[in-house]
Amino acid sequence: MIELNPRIEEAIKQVVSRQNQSEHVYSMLKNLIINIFNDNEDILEIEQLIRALKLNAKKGDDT
Amino acid sequence: MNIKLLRLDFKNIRDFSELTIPLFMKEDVDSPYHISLIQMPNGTGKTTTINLLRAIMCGELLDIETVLSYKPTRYECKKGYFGVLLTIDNDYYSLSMHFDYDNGFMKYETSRPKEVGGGKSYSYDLPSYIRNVMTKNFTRLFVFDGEFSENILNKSKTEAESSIEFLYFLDRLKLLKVKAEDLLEKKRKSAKDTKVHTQQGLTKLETEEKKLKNTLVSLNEQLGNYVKEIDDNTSEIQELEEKNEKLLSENKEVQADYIKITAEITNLENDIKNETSKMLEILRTPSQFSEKLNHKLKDLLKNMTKLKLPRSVSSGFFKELSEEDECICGRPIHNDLIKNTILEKSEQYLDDDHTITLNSIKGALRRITNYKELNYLTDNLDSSIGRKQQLIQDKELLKIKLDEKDQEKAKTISDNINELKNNLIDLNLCKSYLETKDSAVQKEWNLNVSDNIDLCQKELAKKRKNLAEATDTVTLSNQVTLFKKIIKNIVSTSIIKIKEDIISKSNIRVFQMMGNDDVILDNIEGCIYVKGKKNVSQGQSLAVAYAFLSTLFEDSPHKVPFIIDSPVGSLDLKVRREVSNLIPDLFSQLVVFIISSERDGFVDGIEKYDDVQFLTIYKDERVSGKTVFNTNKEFFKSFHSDNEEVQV
Repeated sequence: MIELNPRIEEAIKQVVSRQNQSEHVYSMLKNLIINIFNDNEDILEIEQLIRALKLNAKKGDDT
Repeated sequence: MNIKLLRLDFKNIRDFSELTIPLFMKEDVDSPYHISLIQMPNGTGKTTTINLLRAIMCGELLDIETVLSYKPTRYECKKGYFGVLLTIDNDYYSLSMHFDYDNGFMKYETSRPKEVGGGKSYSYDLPSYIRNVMTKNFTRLFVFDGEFSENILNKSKTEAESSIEFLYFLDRLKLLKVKAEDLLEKKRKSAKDTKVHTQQGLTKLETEEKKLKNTLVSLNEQLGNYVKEIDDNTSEIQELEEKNEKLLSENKEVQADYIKITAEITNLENDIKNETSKMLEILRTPSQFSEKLNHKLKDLLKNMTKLKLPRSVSSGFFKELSEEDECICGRPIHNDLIKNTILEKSEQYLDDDHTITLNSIKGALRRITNYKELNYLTDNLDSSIGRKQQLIQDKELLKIKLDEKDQEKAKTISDNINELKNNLIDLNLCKSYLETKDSAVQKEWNLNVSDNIDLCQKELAKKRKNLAEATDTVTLSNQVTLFKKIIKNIVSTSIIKIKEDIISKSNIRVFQMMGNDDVILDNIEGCIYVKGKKNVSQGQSLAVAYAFLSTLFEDSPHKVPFIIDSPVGSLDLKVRREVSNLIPDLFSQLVVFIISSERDGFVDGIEKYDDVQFLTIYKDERVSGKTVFNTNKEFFKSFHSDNEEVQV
């Protein structure tokens, strides 16, 4: 099982926070990315995550 | 992913008629040596081996020219072979390339030696999760030569950055954006009734829905107004009719006749009501629909079998009866013969449980009465209705007997009543236009959403459904855009952080190797940028490459053998020692192809490790260039060939 690199995990946290998305979105995104790395992605998982995103919630600009 | 290389096999590959290079330990054939030093003078086949290893690891299909370039020149042969034995996550695989030198084709074979039957496949058939990683670019990272070290510092190349992306799977995250787009497209296609995908289109739909809602409110208001007007008209008509009646009933000339006619009309209305009720009651009974049907139902009753009892609840009765002293008819049951007769004959009166239903039908059929002719009832009714109409006319004619003044009044009242009744007809028609749900009538009257409530409601429901669908599509579209942005930012932020790490750690390693800070990695933008330097020497670029690669693989989820051709090239002795101290600890398996002139400084550092093998492969020119394979360490250290110069 391929684990998530700490730098990538930091990046996810940082981006999700900047976008002012929920902890739930962060958790789903992390799981999705781990599954992608392990060739386990599921289209339903992607759809659930996309639909969980809050629109007009961004705090600040991203790099 | 953890790959270990165990053996290389050559047959009829250039000057290798038949050669096996074992990389596994004698004491443990499942494990490779930590370090395999393979000394091969120039022209022996190092580059050939490196190129074949790169190709076979990623399953590259070679073109005809390349295949034919491997054909031996010293002797004739039709076929060639190059194979590797390896383990991937502790599973054994044998990968081989088969060359057909007659036509320049090649094919792959994959087998799993430890599987029952060998698990053979005539293709490059590693597991998909391996194939996804083992790309051409990836193999160049661990089957390494000087070209890579030049490319990672070459401003026109992006190998440094792209190697970070695919080693840390960040290129796969980019594919997520494509999947998100596919999802959106699928949603758009499934939203059959609406083609709205943009905010503009959505706003237009919302406006249309609002307009329909307002139309419906207006139509309902109109209906309310009509209902009120109809009620008012009806009340007015009633009042005028009462006035009319009063006019007649209070006039002495016509009073008596008026009372008589009115009483008779009332009686006739009661008769009509009673006769109508009787007819309806009779018509509700199927046997009274017609005389013929009545006879048929009675015949059915005759043909049904005699009454039987349901077995499940009635067999107990006969059993109990047989045990009594007396039968229900009063006769004594005094011996076994009578008892047994009761039990035997009870079968004639018992049946399955559907008997209950049949018995109900029989009961209903028995209650059928004889057919009664309806004609006398209809005749009576016609007569009563006709008589009533006549009496109403007679009542109207009484007005002629009124005086002129009252006649005028009566005429005015009648005219008003008629006008109101005509108005009532129009109002009811308008109300019908609004209310009707009959689609045939709606079509006949050319009604539409602006003059019929039912049509307006249906159109509103449809519009709301479209709006919900469109809202969902537009919302999803916006979410997909946001998702793609998030993924893009995660990739770019991850790369920045990983690069910072790599630069920091690589600088430590470069310093360890070079012993000075002449070469400091600054950043990675496509290629690696060295601080304050436009160009670096070959030795410096090698040091940078080792530092970069070792750092890259250190935190990578992939563990691969590191295969190097000419590891130290033009590095000076001091740097060679540093390289030899550094790289073995960074890779669990190291396979190094060197020439004798590279031994100094490099082999010193390697020697201190226990699990090292020293192989020398060379052509013995005394025996027509036959390839010789030697595993002796002392031979390795003392070997010298004339055909060796460090390539500068």
